[in-house]
Amino acid sequence: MQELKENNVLQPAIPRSWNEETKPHKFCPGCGHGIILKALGEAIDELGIIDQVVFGCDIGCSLLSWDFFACDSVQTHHGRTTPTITGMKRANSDIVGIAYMGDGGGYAIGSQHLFNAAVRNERITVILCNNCNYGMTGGQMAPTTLPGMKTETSPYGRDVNETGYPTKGPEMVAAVAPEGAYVARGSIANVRQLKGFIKKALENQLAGSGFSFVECLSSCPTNWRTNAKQTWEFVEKDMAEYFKVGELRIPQAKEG
Amino acid sequence: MKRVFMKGCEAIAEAAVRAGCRFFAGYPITPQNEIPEYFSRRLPEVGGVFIQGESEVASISMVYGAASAGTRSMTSSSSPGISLKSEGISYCAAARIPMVYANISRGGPGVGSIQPAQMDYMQATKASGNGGFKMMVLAPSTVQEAVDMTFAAFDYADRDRNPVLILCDGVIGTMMEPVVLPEMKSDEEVAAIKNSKKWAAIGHKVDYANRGWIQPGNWSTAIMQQGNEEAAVMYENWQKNDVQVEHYQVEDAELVMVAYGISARIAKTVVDKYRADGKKVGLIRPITVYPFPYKAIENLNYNQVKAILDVEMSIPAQMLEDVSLAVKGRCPIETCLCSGGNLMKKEQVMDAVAKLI
Repeated sequence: MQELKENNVLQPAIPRSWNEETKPHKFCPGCGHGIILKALGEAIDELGIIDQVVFGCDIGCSLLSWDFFACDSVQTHHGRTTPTITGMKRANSDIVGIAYMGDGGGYAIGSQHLFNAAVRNERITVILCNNCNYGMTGGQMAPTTLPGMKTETSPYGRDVNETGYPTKGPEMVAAVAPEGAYVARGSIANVRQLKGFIKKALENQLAGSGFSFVECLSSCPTNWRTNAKQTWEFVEKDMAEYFKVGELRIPQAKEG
Repeated sequence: MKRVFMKGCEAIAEAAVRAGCRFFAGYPITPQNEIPEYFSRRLPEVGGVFIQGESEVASISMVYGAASAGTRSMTSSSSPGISLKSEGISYCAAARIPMVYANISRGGPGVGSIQPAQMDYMQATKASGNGGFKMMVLAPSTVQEAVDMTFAAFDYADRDRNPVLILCDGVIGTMMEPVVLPEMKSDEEVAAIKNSKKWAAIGHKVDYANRGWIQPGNWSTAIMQQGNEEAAVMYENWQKNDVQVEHYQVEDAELVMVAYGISARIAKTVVDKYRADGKKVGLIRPITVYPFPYKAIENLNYNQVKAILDVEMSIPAQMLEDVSLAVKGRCPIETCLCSGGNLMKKEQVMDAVAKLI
C-alpha cells in the first residue's frame, strides 16, 4: 500500500538503501543504470542486508553511482572493482561485497579480474551493465558493441573481421566458474526478472556458495542517438537476440 | 635477545606479520618470491589472508580493498612489477589508504636484470604513480634494518593514512643475516588497530552521512584541491619530523660519500679502510630516501669538505639530483656508479675516493 502525496500523485517508492540526498540521480535521461540500481536497491532492502553491504563502483558511467546508496562505498580504478571487492571480502568475510561496473570495465580492461575471480569462486557479487558502448567517454566501441553497430570508434560499423564478435560475459563466466557459482543475464526490459536475478546473486554470496555474476542489458540513448521507441526496440530485440536473457548457472540446492 | 638467521625477503614478511599485517596479495617475480611464499605459509597460521593475484594490478587492487576495510595489508614486487602496481598505489595515496609495499628492485628499465641494483630511486621518491603524491620511502642497508623498517612502516602508514614503501635492493632481499625480530602484536592489539579505523568500509547501518566512503579523488575541484593541500602539509611535516639519516665519521671529514642501501654498507667499509690510514673520509647514509635528509648534507662545513662522492648502483645516477640540491654548488660532486645488476665493488669505491683526496 502506498501513500498518495500532494496533488494525488503516487510517488514511486524509493528503495530504503538509496541515498535520497543524491536523487534525482546523475545518469542521462533514458539511461538504464537507474533501473538496474533500483532493482539492486530493492533486492538489498528485501534481504535486509544494507548494514553488511560494501558497494564498489568502477570507472565510466557506473562511477556515477558512487553516492547512489546510503551504504559503505568504494571507488576503484577502471576494471579493478572485482579485485578490490575481492580484497575487502577476503579481509572481512561478513560483508556483502558488490562490484558494479560497465562492459568495458568487466570485459575489456578488467577481463583478467572477472575471469580469475570466477575461477577462484570468490564469494562476491559482480553486477555488470551492458549498454554496447563506452558511455561516459562519448560512445566508443566496447567489447559488447553489436556487429555492424556504429560508434565513435567504429564509424563504419563494427567489423567483426577486425574486432571480433561481442563478448558474451555470462557465458564465459559460466564456463570457468566452479560449482556453487550463480550466473545470469537480465535486462532492464524485464525489471521484475532482473531483480530476481540480482537477489539470487546476493543470496548466493550470503550462502557462501560461490561467485555470482549478473549481466544487465541496458540502454544508452544519448550515445546510441535513438529516440524512446528506437531505444526500447534496441534493448528488447537487437540486444536480446545476440545476448540471450536467462540464468546460465544455478547452484545445486544443498541437501537437508 | 634471541637472534635468528633469516633471508631478507622472509624477514620482511615475518616483521610484517608481527606488526599485525593480516592480508597479503602478490604476484610472482624474481628476486622477491620469498616474500609471497613466506606469507602464503605464515598468514594462515595467524588467521590472515594470502591471495596470489592474477597480476600485479590485481594484487595491488586487492590490497586497496583489504586496507580500505581496515586490515593492515601489504604487497611486494620488483621493478617492472612495481610499475604495474603504480595505478593502485596512486589510488591508495589519493583515497588516503594505509598500506605497505616492498620493492626488491632490479637492474634497469624494462625487464632489466634480476640482479641487485638501485635503479628505481626516482620512481620511488619522486613519482610512484600519477598525481604528484608522495610516500615515506625507507631504504634498509641490513636485513635487521629491513625488519625494523617493515615493522615501523605499518605505524607510519596508519598514522598518515598513506602508503609506505620499503625500497630494497636484491642484496638485502636475498642475503641471509642474523636478526632480532620484534615482538608479535597480540590478536587483541591487531583487532584494536583495525577497529580504530572508523573510516573503513566494513558495512554500516543506513546512514549516508557516516558511511565508510573510500574516495580516490573528487569531482569538486575545491574539495580535490583541499585534499591535495592537506597531503602537501603532511609531506612537509615528514621533512621536519621523520627524516632518518646516519652520519658516519663525518665530523672532520674532508671527503663525504653519500650512499644508501647496500651501497652505503660498501661505502662504510671504504671509510674504515681510509680512516685506518688517517684519511678524513666520512659517509652520510639516507635511511629515509623520502623524506630525503637534505639538511644533513646542506649543513656540512664546506670550508672543510673538499668534495662529495655520490655512490649508487644506478647509471645514470639518480640520488645525485637530491644531493646536488643540498650541496648547492659549494663543492664538487663526483659519482661512483655501477648498474645493470652489477654489485658495487669496494675497489671501485676505493679508487673513486683516491682521486678526490
